[in-house]
Amino acid sequence: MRKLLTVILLLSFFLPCGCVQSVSMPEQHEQYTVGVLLKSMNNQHWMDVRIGIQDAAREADAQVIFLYPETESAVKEQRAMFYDLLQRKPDVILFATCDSLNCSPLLAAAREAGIPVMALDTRMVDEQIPYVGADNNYIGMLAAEQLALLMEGGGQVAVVTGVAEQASHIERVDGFSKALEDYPQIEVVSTLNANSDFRLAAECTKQIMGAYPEVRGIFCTSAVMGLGALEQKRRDFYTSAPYIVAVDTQDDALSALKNGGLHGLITQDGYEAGYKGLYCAIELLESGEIADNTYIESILLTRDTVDDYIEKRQIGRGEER
Amino acid sequence: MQISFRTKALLAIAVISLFSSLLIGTVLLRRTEQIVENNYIRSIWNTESVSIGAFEDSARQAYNLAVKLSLDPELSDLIRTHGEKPYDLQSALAVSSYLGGFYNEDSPVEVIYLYLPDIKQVITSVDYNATREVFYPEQNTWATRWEDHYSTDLAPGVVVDRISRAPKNALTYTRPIYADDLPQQIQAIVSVLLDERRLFYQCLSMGVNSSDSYYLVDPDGLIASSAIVGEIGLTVSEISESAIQLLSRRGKESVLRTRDYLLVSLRSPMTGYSIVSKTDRAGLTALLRNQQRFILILLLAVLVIMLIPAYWLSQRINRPIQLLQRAMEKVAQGDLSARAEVVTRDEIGQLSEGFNDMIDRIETLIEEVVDERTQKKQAELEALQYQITPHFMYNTLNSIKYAALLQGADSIGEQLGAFIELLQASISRKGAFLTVLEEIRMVRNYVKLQEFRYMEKYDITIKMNGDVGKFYVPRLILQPLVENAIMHGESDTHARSQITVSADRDGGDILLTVQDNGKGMSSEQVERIMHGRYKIKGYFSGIGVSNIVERLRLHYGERADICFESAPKRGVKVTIRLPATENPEEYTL
Repeated sequence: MRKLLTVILLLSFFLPCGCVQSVSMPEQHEQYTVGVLLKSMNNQHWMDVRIGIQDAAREADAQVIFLYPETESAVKEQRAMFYDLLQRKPDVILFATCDSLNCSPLLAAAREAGIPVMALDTRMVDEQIPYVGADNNYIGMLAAEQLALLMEGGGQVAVVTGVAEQASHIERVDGFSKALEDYPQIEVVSTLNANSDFRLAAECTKQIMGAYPEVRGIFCTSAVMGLGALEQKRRDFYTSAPYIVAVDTQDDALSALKNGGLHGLITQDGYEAGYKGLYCAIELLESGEIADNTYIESILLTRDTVDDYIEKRQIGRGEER
Repeated sequence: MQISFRTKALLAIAVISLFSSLLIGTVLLRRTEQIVENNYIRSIWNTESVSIGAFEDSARQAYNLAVKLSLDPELSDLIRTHGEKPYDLQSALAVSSYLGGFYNEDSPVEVIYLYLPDIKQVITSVDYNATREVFYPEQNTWATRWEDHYSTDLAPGVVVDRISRAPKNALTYTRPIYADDLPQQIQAIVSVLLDERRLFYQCLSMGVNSSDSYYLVDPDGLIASSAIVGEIGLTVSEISESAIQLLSRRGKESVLRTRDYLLVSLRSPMTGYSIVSKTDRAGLTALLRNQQRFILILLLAVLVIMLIPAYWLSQRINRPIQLLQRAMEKVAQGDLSARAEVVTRDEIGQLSEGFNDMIDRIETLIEEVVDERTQKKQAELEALQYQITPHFMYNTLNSIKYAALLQGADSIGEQLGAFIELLQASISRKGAFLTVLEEIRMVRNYVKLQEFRYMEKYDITIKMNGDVGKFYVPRLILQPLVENAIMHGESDTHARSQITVSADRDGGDILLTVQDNGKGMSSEQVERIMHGRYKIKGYFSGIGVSNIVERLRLHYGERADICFESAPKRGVKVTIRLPATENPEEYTL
């Protein structure tokens, strides 16, 4: 008996060695793979979206595949990338389409592969899938109201819009027009497509000013185009007076708003869209369902309110990053 | 082997200390090792994270370009134009310079190849080597790859570029270009290449520690880039046998610990490639191992040094036990005066005190018992002696005797004389022993008195054999027996009682016998006597026999005995056996 006890005593010496726990290693748990196909990476909006997605992915411990064509108009390339992305078999795809009108074949392929797809930032027109992004109708409405406010007494307005195939631009113009129905004294005289391009936007502005010199307000459905329009004003030595209201909050647009170049900027925070988008994707994977629409905040910024906004955003991003 | 209590205690303490120190030391060291390793792993992941980001960026640029070129209508046109005049240098150069327009110094893309399967021609983006003919596709695995193995995967392929001047390792995105008018037919295959060496210097030539090696591994486990060029193209088992396990894990990050190495890998989600680092575990924990050795030596040294105070301490603790032990030994040898010195107030002290008390009590008890016994014997003896007669009677009777003689009453004087002698024998304090001869004389005196008293004559026969007369016996040892014989020895069958008293020697003993021929006792009565019930109704009054028995016991203990033989009508024979002695003091109390 005593011998047995001695042996047990000796063995118990070795037990704690085995019991030493590994010290807080990252857990090897299931990581979701999220495929993200964006419209491009050539402006700050998309960079914000990307950072938002990366931050959320780090928190939720998800892997992200980022793909994007060179420009927002590279529809065919984006389509090829979508099919390539399907081959990789991610768990879910967040898709900001360059072509809102012809997504059916892509979505059909995705359904066949069993991969759920969510629309990010830009809605699809030909199919309804869960959407995360700005409420574009609302944005259009905010722009209309701002211009109506600035243009007391009414007058003529023009619209410079982006890639024709993209639902966000279409919706913003729709929202804008609908809201202006409440202001019969304001007339939309021209809607031109600048393909979300800076130079084209300047060109369009020039055209508009040429054709309608009395135009008092221009609504540009993206900040890039808004800056393009502003550039045109600059070229004209600011002899033309239209108020420019645009959408997106990239840094150069915010500066322009601050020093009075732009007269209204409607926010749609790319970071917030990316961040929320990723979390919605995860939720869809975990619970199997997600709301049809998850909107990010859109507010109208003016010269007075822009500083506050910048500060809040920095703090918010500071914490999140 | 006899191990002292103190040594056992010392050993026990030493063993326990050693074990617990080793245990704690080992556990702590293991934990520290793990912490060091885990921190190292985390720092490697941080480094790898930056590298894999850089790799993905380069890969994405190449991929984007490949996709763009594969859908570029302008390129498609140029290709068609050239296809119509396959051997026209102009059209080839047009294609070449178009391709060349797509990269700049910042671009990670090294070169673009365009393979036209219909005319088996490769057009490159570098101007000095614009076209190459591919005559033997089987010999050139690169071309074979083009025709059969282009893919639209997000992962680049690992290839050897043999088109350029010197064979180089590269990663490539190779995609087909379809003609717009013939969507099913491949018009050309475009290959965008990333130079492996450049990727290596961009992504893998870092190191937290120069002893770490980094590898770029493709999703199937082939080494795509490494510091040792010879390893490129080999499987990841070159790094370590079980390294392939790293790739099969679903998570982005994984760690593999083999006996000698630490393998840490981080995967790129887009390409599926992983960066794997290999660290020599021993080197990582070399410092710790030194510490371990140091601690071990320190432990042993401290243990050895601690033996000295431990020894001294155990001495002190053991001393009270030793004192107790010594006292016990003394007592065991018979020295009841030994006591244990009490020096502490703990259990040993209590033990010692208890021991001392016990010995005290034993001593007292023994004294008491001895006293008691002596007193008892003394008292008994005195009582017995005094039982018989007070002293003054002797003197009075002497007077009467002389008076009788003076008055001429000789017979009375004679009787009185006999009586006085008997009385003397009874009273005298000195000399509890008489010779047998003297004792027999007393018997005769007694008988004479009895004859006078009862006016009868008894037949007393006295035999003394040999020299038995000189030996000493307790006085008046026979008288009670003779008295009994006279009292109760009347015979129904004989007219006169016959009493025989004999004294013999038997070896070292003396036998004294008194026999009568009276009516005897029943066997039951004999029984009773032999069992100590000396009072027999009608025969023994009890006092005399018990007197004899007691005195025999007191003087001789077990060495004397008395026995009774009788049967009804056969008389009684009483035999006393006692040790023969010529020394009257020998059996005195």
